[in-house]
Amino acid sequence: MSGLGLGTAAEVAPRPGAAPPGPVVAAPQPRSRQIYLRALARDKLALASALFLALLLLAAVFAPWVAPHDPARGGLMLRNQPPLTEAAGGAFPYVLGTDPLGRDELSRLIYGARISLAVGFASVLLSGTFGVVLGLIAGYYRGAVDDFIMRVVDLQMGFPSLLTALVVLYALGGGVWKVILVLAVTRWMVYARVTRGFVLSQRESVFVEAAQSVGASDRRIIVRHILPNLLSPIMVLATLEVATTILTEASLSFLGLGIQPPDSSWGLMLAEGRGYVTTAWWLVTFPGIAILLTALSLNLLAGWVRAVTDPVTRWQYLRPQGAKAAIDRE
Amino acid sequence: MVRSNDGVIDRLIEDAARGRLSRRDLARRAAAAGLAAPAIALLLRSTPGAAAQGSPAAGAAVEPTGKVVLAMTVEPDTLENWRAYSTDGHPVIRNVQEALLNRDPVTNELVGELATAWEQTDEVTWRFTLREGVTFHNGDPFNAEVAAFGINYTWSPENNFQIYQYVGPDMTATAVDEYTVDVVTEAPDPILPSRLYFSPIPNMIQVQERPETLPDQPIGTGPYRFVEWNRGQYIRLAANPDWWGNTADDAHGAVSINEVEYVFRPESAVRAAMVATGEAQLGRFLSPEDCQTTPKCETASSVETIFLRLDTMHPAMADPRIRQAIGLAIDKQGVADQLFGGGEAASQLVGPSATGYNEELEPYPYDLEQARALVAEAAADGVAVDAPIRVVTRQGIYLRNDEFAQYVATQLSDIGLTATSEVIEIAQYNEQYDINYADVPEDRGWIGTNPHGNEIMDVSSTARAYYSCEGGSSTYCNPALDEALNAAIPLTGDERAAALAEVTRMYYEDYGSIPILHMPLNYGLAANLEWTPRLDGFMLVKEMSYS
Amino acid sequence: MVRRLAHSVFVLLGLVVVVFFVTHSLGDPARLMLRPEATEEQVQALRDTLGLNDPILVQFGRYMANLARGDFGESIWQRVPALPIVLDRVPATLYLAGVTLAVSLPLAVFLGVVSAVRPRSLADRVVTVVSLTGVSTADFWLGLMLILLFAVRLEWLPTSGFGGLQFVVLPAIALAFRPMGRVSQVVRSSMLDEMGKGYVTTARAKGLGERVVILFHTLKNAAIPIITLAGDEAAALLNGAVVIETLFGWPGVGILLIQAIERRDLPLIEASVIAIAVMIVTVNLVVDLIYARIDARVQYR
Repeated sequence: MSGLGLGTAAEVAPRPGAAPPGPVVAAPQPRSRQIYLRALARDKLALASALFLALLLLAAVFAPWVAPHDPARGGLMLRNQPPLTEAAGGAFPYVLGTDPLGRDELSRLIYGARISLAVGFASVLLSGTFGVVLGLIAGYYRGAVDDFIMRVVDLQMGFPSLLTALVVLYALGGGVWKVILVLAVTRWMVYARVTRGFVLSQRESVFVEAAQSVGASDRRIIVRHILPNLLSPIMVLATLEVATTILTEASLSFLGLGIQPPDSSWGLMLAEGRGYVTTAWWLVTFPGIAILLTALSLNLLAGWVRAVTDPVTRWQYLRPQGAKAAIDRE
Repeated sequence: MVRSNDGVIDRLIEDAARGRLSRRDLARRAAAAGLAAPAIALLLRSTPGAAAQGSPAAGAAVEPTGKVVLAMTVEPDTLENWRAYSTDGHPVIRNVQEALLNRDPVTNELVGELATAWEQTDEVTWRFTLREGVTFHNGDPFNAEVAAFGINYTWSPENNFQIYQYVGPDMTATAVDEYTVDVVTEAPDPILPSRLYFSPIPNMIQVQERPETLPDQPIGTGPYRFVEWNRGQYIRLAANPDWWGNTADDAHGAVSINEVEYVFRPESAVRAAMVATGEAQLGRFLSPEDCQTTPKCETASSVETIFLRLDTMHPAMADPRIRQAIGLAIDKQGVADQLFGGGEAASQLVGPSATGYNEELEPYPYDLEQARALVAEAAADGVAVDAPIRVVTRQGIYLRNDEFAQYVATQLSDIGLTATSEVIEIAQYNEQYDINYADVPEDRGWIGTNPHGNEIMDVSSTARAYYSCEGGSSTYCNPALDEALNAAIPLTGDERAAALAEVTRMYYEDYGSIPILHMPLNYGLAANLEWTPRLDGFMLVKEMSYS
Repeated sequence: MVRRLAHSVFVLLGLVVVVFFVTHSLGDPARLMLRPEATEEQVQALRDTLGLNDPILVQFGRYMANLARGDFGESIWQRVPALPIVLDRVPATLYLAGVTLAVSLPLAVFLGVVSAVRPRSLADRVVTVVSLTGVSTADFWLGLMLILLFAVRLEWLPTSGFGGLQFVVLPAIALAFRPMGRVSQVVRSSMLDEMGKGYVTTARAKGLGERVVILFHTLKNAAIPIITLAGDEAAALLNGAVVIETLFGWPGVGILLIQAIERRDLPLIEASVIAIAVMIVTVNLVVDLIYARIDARVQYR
């Protein structure tokens, strides 16, 4: 995600009348990764977010080596042990407790991250790309194309997502990829609508008109002038959608339409813990916190990316000295 | 039900009559003497002091007061009389409509309800003597014509109501005189009374003239009349002042509560919260943990048995050694204690209350070593032990079904089989669960985790459905067993019990399915509500009272 | 505008068609209604009664013809006309969605503005954490917690049920967190975008009070994504408050639709979907109208 930000940041057209204050002129051109890394190091929250996500990804990828226990093995006698319970035979303690079948909660969270992150990111990427492209087309060309696309949006919005899930999974059967597909199909509309709304307000702006008047192609206008400005609202939306899709996956699982054991996901863990809200708080709390931290980290990171790619605020973050003061001043 | 306590009761009544005991004390001491709530209610009514507080009319019940709110899991689909076989239907319907027979809440023996006596007059004929002076809530009379019509309507193969699944031979009822009905079955059916205990009698005129009102405006003869059903919200009943039981001494209960309201909350924690806050006085089917948060938690055994239904045509499960290994791989008592908060490990699909229960059978032991050895042995003989097995469960069918299915799959993987678990959407599940042996694809490899409820309390209905080659839910086929079953069905008395117990043993020894536990059910009660859950799960408000 | 309305009608028509074919591909209601012991003849007889044995196009024609008279057919499950069943549930759904939005949207705008005025300040961080928590919290958990706290522990409100204001509070709060979190983040982001633009700087330079600048210029110009997302959240509430409806025993359309799907009650599924769709299409129409009012540049020819 930040790679995308880096690539387009240099090309952001000055906004109409943005007349950045003096220092922008002196701002270093973002050619070096180091500058960004240094800027990241200065924003402690963004840094923490990046570290958390990196750790999470590593843990998910290397789950078999990281997880202290087998996520599928437990025992009825180990059922619902509270956090910090000692494990038998000198094994790693159950730091986050065990689930109703006596399986280690921490290990399940680590393994669950694989599916939850895959589901969250892949479906957001799919639905986001699809939705943004359609929204761009609708907003930019307007007329009949716009009408058609937006009415398809209406149609899909009016069609209950549960029915969509049922139809897709009835026809194709279950599995992670089918779940991702369902979530992508049921969640692309919001991107299309936000994008279109945004493009509508941008399209007639001075700079787009200017670009048109010098004969720039539509594609160039969209890619060079509209898309970069769109990036920040869409990124905010996408970080929110990651949390939403991970949670939606939980409700699909619960209806027997989502991830099935022995696979596990944070959503499934949440769903499985719902019968124990009063007696084993850790069952819903930890997956809930995992989802929250992931969404929060993404959001903070997105905020940072947005700040360093925004022509107005960029200088405050990228200037080697005095950045702290600039940040504080804002 | 009061037989064994005669002495105690007499003393209590005497004390009450002399004014030494208040009503409340009487109730408390009766409870301490081990009497069931309905018995206490009866007792209260029969004491002179108690009667004086009520209506002055001789022998009349105490004026019913107050309201009870029952927090149920799901709303019934319909309140038609034939729906009274279902878990969601009978709690409402059985308070409004009555059947010829009911069961004693304590002994589970059949007792008269709308019938006062019954006898088998020949192999295929049962004669019922009806109660006189009974009227429906709208004033229509109850008599032999109405009863015969109701039975024929409910059990007719043409109408094919879902209750018809409790097949036995088809039956025809005819009115002999005003208060005598003969029920003739196509073939001998010793358990006919049990089937009739199951089917309340509808109002004949309503069925004939206003059938469209049957689903949501039931008219019956029962202690409560239907008031209102606001779909999605509540069902309300009110005490029937003209109920025959108010003046009869064999009513097996008494109306002391005036209003009944049913609300529907699928989440166990919410039902428990309603009882805890006093919004409801009774929460049905709570999880063991939630039940403890209510003022009074009653755990009762039920006629439901959880078992593993094996697709015995599956390449791996066709081998009895694999089926035995599956039986050995599950810690039945562990599942009962840990997942269901109690309950007994089961050796068969019915409980001890059923005719044909085989007392000699023990639950399959829990022995992983032997299970692994059996799988290895079968594998060595070329059995495809790696053919995939799916432990399936229907979304929301009972509490913790998903955990149970996962546990089973894990255990089976542990002994060397290839098993996964799966929660399946309701309609898809029903479509695939309810098919017969012959129609199940060989490679489906399902292990069903449904509960089986033997409300009829006779093995024959269970065996027809699950053991026989023809059974609608049977995934097992053994012609020798079918033969034994067919021979047992017409028998009566001890002969019947022995023959059916033998069928049970055949099924057990062939590992036709793996019984796990007799499921306990938890009810959360308000502190002042007196009620003892019944084995058959009926929730009769006439058996409830406030202390 | 007439055009836009006509388009919405087309959408509903399209939906009517899609729903028909989708529901008819989902399995056999006759099989589900009968017990396993039912013979093939019994199933066929029921299918005949329900008209399920006719060619799909004949069924479709009959369905459309009936629809033209406003008749969705009889619910297979409840055996009364499907449309009144659904219409009976619509007010509850609108009530809950309305209260939820009335709580969450103003709060979201407030939080978003607070957040955007001083980005990266403590207030901004707190708002971000709060709104992300709202977005990441499973609704059933939140609902149960609210019940345990406000109904069981404090005894301020009823646990569940349908009725006046005291009944709607808990489910509405349980539902409000998500739209509150999502919309406030979009408000924050749109405001920041707008505040980066020249006119805000100009307005500041002219010495106008900062609050005026923020409220009257920025918010208005940032409104389009906010309204879009708010509309989306409204649609989501109309479409899928199933978990909360179930938890609180709230008699909405969502729970009805689930029950209809579980029973493969085709007429009832169709009627529910169309009812929900009419509400959502109306919301989208309103959103488009608001667009047009806010931004004169977005006009309908």
